[in-house]
Amino acid sequence: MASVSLDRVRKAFPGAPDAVHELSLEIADGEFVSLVGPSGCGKSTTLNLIAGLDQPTSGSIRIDGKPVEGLEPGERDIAMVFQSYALYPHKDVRGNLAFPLEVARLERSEIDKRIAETAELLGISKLLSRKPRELSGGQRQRVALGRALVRKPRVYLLDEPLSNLDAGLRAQMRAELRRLHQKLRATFIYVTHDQAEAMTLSDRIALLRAGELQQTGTPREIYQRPANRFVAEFFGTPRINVVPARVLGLEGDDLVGIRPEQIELLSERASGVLEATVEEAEMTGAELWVTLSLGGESMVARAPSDFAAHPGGRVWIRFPADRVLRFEQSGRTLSQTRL
Amino acid sequence: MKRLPVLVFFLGPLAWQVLTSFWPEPELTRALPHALTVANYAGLGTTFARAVLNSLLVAAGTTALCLAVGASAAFAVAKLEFRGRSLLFGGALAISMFPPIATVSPLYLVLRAAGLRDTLAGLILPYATFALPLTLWLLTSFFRDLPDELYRAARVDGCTPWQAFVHVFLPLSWPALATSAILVFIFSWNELLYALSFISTPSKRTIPVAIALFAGEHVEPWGQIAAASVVATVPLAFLTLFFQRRIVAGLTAGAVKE
Repeated sequence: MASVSLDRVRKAFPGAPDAVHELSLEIADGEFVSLVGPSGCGKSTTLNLIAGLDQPTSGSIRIDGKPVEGLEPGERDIAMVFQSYALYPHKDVRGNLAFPLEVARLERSEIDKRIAETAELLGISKLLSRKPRELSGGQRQRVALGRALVRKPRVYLLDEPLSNLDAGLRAQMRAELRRLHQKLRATFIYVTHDQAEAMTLSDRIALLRAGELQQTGTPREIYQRPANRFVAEFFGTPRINVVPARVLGLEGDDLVGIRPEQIELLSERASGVLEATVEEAEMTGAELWVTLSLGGESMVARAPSDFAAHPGGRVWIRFPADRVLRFEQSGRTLSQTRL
Repeated sequence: MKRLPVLVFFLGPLAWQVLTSFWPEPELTRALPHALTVANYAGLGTTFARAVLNSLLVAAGTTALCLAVGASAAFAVAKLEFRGRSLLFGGALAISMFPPIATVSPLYLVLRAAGLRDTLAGLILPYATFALPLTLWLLTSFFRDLPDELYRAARVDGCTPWQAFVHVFLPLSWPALATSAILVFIFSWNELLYALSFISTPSKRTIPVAIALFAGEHVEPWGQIAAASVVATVPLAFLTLFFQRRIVAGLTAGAVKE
């Protein structure tokens, strides 16, 4: 098990803005850290740099305190799971699992032992003699995971491993990944564009945008105290509402953000409420997502599913003032407001 | 029946050749022979047998050399990053633009200086050089189509680039290798110009040279030429059929999610 530290890592490709810009990140031993961001934000590039599949233009990467510059991917004691699984199509499952061990010239008995253990752990023992093309998506995913596990590496790098699975399977594999991480106590670095996935899986999240680190923190920190408007808008479904302060009856010319679940909808006027018009109501099952029009701005609020909201109807809202985020012109979050 | 004209168009000349090879020599000008004969084949003799053997050696040698160099170079061009990558690729393709006749005299001098004139190795080398661009082209596009993640997975699994090539990419490239092999083999099997120019010893002649030199001073042995052509064509046809069976589509199915 090992820590991973990135010190002002920069990756530039010719004729393009930096893919990764001066990224510094400390990942502790045994931590599950997600690199999140929209596509093209540099998260996969960062993973490739850690893996040694690409070399940083400047800056340094250390695994367990030791610089890994000049080390081949195979010498870094890392394993990687790819979005497309990248199983070797000409080898059966056993061959796929054995391959990294064979390249490392392990004893045959040791290889067999590890394959048996890993297959047992992932529930793929019965598939060992199948070829990848004979497997379902979920099974391929498990084999890809197995090929990483079988090496007992210090660091696991996962590049959008679940994005090719259907929704049900994804939820199941998510839980399984979480369980695996707890069992192995290894360092996991997980790349995803799916904010919900990052939230549920990670100890800590690092959000990237156009090669620049926006914020790192626990899911709770990132969600409740986003460093800027971009972070605030990236996490949470539906998105946080960002409107001019005056719309919420607050002072100042800044933009403020309030999460949909913080807005309480009332069907009757009460003290300290704002009046709004219902534009649209979306039934999601457990709750109702109500789009409101307020002071010329649109906002979304989450309401219990039995809340009566009809387009054009009138509702009243209130919200805890200490949950309002205030953004500077630059988008940076100011300290939380008090009314 | 719409296919008949096409069949006649493509197979007509071959059928004619086969028929001629069984036609008794003195009756070639008649509409129909009195009887068919194998005399033309029997008359080919040991010199021609030697030529078949030479052609086999040269074509097999060329194919092996060409694929060994071509496959590794194509892998490098397709999957590795190095300086001068496009120069290598472009240069190799440019070679194929040279008209062969323009290279005969300089090549002759080179081969003589290297002591390879009038040897089979002296044919294999230039053949491989001229067949290489096509091989490189075919295999490069094949390797490019194999997913990059496969290469990266192999690297993370501890492979050097060469091991990734040998253990992962080569086993997947049989269809492309077989296709290239057929083309290279046919090219060197049929090549006449260099073989005629660089080989002087009769026992080292290849099939095309042997057939070209069948014609005597006074007679043109059409029957024998036809028989020799059939002998030269049949193994090639079988080879092609054999390899075609090997070219299994969908060998890469299941490697990555489509």
